[in-house]
Amino acid sequence: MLTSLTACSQVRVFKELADMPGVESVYIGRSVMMLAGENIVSNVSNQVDFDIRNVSSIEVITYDGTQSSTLSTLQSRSQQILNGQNLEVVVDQRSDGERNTIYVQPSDSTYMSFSKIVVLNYDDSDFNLVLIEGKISNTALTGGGDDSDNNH
Amino acid sequence: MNKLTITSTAQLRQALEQFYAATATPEVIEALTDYFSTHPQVDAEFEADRAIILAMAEAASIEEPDDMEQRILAATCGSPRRTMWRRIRLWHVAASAVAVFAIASLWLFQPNSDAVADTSLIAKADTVATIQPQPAQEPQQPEQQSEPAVQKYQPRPTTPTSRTRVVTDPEEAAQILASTLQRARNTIARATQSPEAIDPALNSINNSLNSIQQ
Repeated sequence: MLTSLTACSQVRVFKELADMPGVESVYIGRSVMMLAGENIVSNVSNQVDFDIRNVSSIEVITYDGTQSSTLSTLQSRSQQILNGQNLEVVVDQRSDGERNTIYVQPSDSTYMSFSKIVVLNYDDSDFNLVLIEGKISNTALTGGGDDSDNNH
Repeated sequence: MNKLTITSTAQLRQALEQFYAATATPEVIEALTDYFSTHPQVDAEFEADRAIILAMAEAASIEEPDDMEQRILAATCGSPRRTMWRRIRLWHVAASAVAVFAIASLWLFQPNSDAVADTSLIAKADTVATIQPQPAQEPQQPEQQSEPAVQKYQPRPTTPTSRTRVVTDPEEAAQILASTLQRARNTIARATQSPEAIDPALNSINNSLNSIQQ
């Protein structure tokens, strides 16, 4: 109950997008991450390479539909919101109507950790936007990876 | 002993970390409660924490009524007196039902009682009404209805609605985080194969990592 209460009271950057018709969103508040036990932390430690309890919030916005107007609105509004977040582009890959962009907000000039990571991905029929806030080690992004995108 | 007071954001963060790690002393919790009680406007970063701390403080201040145990027993098991009266009422209802059934059986199941009653009625009647047979009517054809009685189901046009799910399970949250970061890594790995997509920021990250490893 308390978790839900706090999650709803926290500021959500992409609330406007989450309220759009047909859009599904997931919100994870700080208290949920803080309540993660040692077993959960150790279970995912080999995947995220840092203590997940340093994450303060996660917002996920997804749209899997055919309404081109919704897709274009999502793309334009998300870009406007991201422009106002003081972010730096790490990767911006565009090809054949598909776009994969990663933004970060470094905690300091050494880029050792980030206070925000945004993963934006969309094409003609799909829109995914994830915002991770907190204190995230840069090893979370550079800890490895493969070509198979099996997360969706 | 001096009362602990939070005067800076750093202190607030430290106290909150202790609170969430369950290592905060009662003094720290009291300091947090005092801080959030006296600071109705806090940074958005601390809004959630404020709600938690104040909710817990409010819950702690609720006093248990003296008759709480009796109330709970009355609401769940019922008091012994109420149970006894309920049992007595049930016996009354059951006994009444048996009595009504017995009386009805005596009256209904008397042998040949119907025949005797019919004869006496005919004898007392002055005139016997005859029933004129009615011409057989053609069975009415059901009217052809313009619309069937049961209309074919047609789903209502629905408008898509937004749906927000608040995750409250830390394990699920951790998995979402892990999969998101894995997706980001994959994107970076793909982009690494096309150098023109890499921003100088990524180079800065890699350089800093390389310097650490050396």
